[in-house]
Amino acid sequence: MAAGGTSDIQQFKANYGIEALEYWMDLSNNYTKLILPGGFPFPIEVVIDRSGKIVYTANNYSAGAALKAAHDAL
Amino acid sequence: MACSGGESGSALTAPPIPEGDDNVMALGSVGIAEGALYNDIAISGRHIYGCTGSVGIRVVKIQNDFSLKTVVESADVPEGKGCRTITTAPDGTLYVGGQLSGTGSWVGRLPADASGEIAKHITLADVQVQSLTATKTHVIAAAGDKGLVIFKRSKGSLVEESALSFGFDQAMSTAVWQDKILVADGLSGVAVVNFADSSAPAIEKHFNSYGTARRIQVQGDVAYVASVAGGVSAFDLTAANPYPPMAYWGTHSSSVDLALDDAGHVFVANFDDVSILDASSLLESPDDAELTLIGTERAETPAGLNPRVVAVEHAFGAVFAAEWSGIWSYVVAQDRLAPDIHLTKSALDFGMVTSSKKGKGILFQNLGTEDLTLTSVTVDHPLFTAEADPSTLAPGEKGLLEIVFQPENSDPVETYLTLVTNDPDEGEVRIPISANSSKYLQVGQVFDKDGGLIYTEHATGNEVTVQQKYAGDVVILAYFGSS
Repeated sequence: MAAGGTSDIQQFKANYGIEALEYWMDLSNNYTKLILPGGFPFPIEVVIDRSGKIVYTANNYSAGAALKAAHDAL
Repeated sequence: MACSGGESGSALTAPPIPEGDDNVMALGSVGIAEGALYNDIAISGRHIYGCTGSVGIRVVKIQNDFSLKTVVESADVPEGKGCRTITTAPDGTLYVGGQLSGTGSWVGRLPADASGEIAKHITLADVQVQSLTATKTHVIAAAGDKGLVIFKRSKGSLVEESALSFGFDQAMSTAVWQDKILVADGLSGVAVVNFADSSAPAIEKHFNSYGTARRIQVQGDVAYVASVAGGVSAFDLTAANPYPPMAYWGTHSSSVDLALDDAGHVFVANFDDVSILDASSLLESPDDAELTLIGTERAETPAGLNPRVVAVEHAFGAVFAAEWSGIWSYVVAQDRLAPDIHLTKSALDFGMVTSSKKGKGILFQNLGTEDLTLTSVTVDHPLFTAEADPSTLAPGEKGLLEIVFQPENSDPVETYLTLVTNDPDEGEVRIPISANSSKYLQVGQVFDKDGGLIYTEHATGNEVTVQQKYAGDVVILAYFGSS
């Protein structure tokens, strides 16, 4: 999500075993609301459950942890 | 999307040019009900018809002094999620479209009587109408990945005549040139559709454009394309392959709509502002053509909020722009030169600071036509220092504002960065700064409960929220930094 066209995205897709992503741009600087204390701005990863609640946030791409959080939310 | 003379259009003379030094000036504005947003505008006669997301259609009168007055607060639209797009036919009749609450869209006819009442509408299943273009005989709906739907105008009704569903990326808008329909086709650039037989349109070819092609307008044999997160490109339609463009202007924001006048100006709804380009060289010396920025005007929004200018029109020598929260009228004084400050951020949050010192930067640019000088850069709090380098910028140049926070403890701080400049209409700019506040979203909180976290779809330029698009689903959201 947000921005695109970089090798980061290719790496992300490979790690997660997915073919396509829907790309959105964060022109409103929403990401500033998601930076954990002391964390770096990017990368940011968030898992949102069916009720709209955040169930996982991280300042890295940890496929195993994020996918577990997503599966737990299903 | 378009404007027309229509009824009583001749009563207005040229707009007044206020005293002062600025070259783009606001003449009037009207707001909107809290929580509602403008999506699009069209002009017929002396009225602006505004498409809103939740209060239907609003009608605004252009007064003799070019100030604006709301005459209809909220006119109903067919069942669904408000109104997305509106356009004016050459005879002044308006056509308007929106999304149904399930899948599908509606398209309706709106008489130019300032009532805002839709006379008749039809529905389209499984199609999301992105924009409409009306000619004397037809209404063309750009329908995203479903291509085009073409209606014949028949005795006040719309009759579906043909559709072209394949071969498009995201049909976002159209313009008619000779017997062709030109389609701003998202990431696929511009599609040229043979429309000689309106019952059997066919794609002839595509040519590239920069970025995501969202809106297109034609003047003579030149097509102007506004691109999301790109800018404006001008293409020679008589060339066998119009790409690369005759001229290109790279935006400082995101170009989502555009309008043209007969004097060689391009008016751009540029999210952060309305930008005015001089395109006269395209008419005078096409081989050496340029799109040159004359000036910008940022709609006033509460401190810390980015404006979102989403639609622009030109009529009666003035510019009319829809920002999410209001409609504005502007006049351009092209013989004046003026500095014009643009900042890459409208607020600064340091987050939780655990180190003894933390710095952050904001890029600033002079989008004007004279030197910009920052005479003072201050933060209203002793724990912050701020510096601008350089403090004077020639037109087009960029500089860096560096703000440093040296906390004494973990107490939250909220203050303002204040810039004093020689920009005629932004002589003082205030930017909210916060630090050590717990404003970040945490596990257990609702991600965008009020729909406040708004993003822009790369493929279409449309505004979306996670809530709108994926409510009820599990979502993995990954942010990548762009370079």
